[in-house]
Amino acid sequence: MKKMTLVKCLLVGSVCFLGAPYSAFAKAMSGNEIVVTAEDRYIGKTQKSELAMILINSDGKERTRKMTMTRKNFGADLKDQKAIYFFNYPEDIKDTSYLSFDWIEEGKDDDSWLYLPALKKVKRLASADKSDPFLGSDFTYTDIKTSRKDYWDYTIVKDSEMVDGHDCWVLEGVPKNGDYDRVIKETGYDKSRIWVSKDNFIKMKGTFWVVKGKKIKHFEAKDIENIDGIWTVKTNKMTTTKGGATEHSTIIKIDKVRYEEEVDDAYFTPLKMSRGISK
Amino acid sequence: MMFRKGALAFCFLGYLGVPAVKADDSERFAYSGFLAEEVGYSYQHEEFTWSKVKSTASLNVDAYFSPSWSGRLNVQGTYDAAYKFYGRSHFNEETLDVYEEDFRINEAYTDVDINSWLNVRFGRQFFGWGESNSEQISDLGNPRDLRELGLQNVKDIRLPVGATKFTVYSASWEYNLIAVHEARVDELGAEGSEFDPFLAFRERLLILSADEPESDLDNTGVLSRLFISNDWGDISFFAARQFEGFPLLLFKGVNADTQQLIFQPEYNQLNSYGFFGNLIDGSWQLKYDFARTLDMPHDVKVVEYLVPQLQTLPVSSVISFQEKNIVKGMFGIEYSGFTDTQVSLEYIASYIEDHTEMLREEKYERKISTYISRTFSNGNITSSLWMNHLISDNANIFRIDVSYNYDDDVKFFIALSGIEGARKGAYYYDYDEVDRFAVGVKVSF
Repeated sequence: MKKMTLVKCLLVGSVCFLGAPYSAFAKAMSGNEIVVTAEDRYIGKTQKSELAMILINSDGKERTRKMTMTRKNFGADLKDQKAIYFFNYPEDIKDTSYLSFDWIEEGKDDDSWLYLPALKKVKRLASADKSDPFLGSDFTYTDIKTSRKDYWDYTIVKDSEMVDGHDCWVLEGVPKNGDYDRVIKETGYDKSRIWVSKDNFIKMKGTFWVVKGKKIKHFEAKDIENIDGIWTVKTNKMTTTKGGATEHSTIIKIDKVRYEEEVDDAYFTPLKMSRGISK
Repeated sequence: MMFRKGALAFCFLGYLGVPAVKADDSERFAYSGFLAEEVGYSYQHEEFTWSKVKSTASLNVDAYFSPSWSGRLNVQGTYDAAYKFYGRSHFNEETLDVYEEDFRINEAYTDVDINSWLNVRFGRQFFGWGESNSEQISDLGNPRDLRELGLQNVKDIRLPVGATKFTVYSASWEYNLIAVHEARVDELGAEGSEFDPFLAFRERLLILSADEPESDLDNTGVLSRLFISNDWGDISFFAARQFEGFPLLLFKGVNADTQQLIFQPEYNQLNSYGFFGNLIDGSWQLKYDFARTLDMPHDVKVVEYLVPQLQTLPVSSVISFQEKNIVKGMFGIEYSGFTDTQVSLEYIASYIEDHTEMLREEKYERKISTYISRTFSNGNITSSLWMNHLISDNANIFRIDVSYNYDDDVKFFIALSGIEGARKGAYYYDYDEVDRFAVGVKVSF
């Protein structure tokens, strides 16, 4: 079974849209600086939320997966992250649990474990191909885990475009330092374009050119809400298209978000995984 | 019995001051379960080809009394109509008892976080250890359902036991101490059925009903494990005193009328220790699992060594087994770098220390286990192949599963399982007609 990094990705994706009124600084920023500002925001030391992942095929048929998530950031700059997820719907994956430790240190692999109710075991996982889809969704491991500044050089291609009432920069990303091979291998993309809101530095939209199969993926952020001072995207949608036709899409809805609640470090352990959902 | 103890535990915990939940009932209890229908066709049979028409109902209740106190109850019932359709008179009572209908309590436990570093779980429960996907090396806590020789879906194989599990834990380590109150052993196939575990022996031997251990204080099992995790992987050290799952055939005497040798399956509580773990490097995982079991009884060769003793010794003095230490180990690799695919390969070997020619088992036993799983169509279709190749016996035991998620609640599945190629004289030689193709549907709620 694949790692649950997608879930983590969804969480991070939702909170990376936090923001503050940065427009005063924005005018002098380069494309890379804009993305760094968007991705390096304080996202809360802890987060608890409930997620629903809706998978939609080309016929419009939907499948839903529901889970709860608890995250805590560690380290001097709160960049290392631990997160634990409990799947509670559908019944087939109920009690499946995923634990991940994400390290900001360059070259240090992330650690992850999976509790499989069928085997009644907690299993340490090796890394999956980062460009693989997670849980059959349209998000890849890279989409969620790794910030795009690690792969892309961004330039501003358009200084202003309105997206859902937000004035946005339009940025285009090409593989950093011309390292096409590594970027394509780890992201699956050879080009990206993102729309960043000027008022709160949220990534409102994204387009990603997929090398394999010559597909294009479109990302949309909806239902943006300021929760406890942190801008949170409560609906994330990724759509995979080919030749202009939609092949598949994934919607991740985040609900009951709570930041900065006290969470014990020992919560992120294999024992907790086998206990099932914590309420 | 364990369910009643579990219920008492719920009450007792109230007196400990475990805080009662203030949430309303809709949040306090969660219900789930499924209904499944499976039809199996044994294509190698000349008769009883439609060998499974099995209905299954499962109900799970999770209770959340407080953030630190929870409980679970899971019950399951099955009815296989294949015996009625074919004619119940074709089967003996034991076969019908074992396969036709079944009701069981799978899990019934209460779980309490005493504080931030101590957890207790009491009741009928599962505890899975070890790194091997196919062999019980260090994974000694739960016995197995071998009523179909282990050919059923892996999720249905492990059997829970009544136990009290204490866990002391921190961020990077965990220590488990488990007292197993329920002396439960492997469930075996019925005598007279095609899954009879003593099929090869019954022609020459009279095998009595098994003498299963009582769940009393003297038979309490103990398991202990220290788990440590760091950047490069996990490692665990364990020690256990637990009943072996599969019995020893103990010589009891000679039938005066038929001159058949009489044996009775008997279970022994054995001491084991060892370690298991993994090393991670990118998409590769190296895994290992080792256990040494002390004084395990191994039966002697009947014709060459047991029968000659009867010429000169009274039955009570006949040596029918020898106690030897046995070492079992696994080295394996797993690779997750292919898209939507996972591959696992294990080499498993066992070695009987101080082996003698008297023993029926070989000094070394080796097998290779392969597991491959892949998903398709955005996870709507899941497929897996599991195969054990027993090197010494030249036997292959396999199972292939494919499932299709029609929607969130309905799943269709097909499976192919069987045993092939065992050499004459090997244990699995007589099971070469157990191959079965099955289809089914599962509706969850």
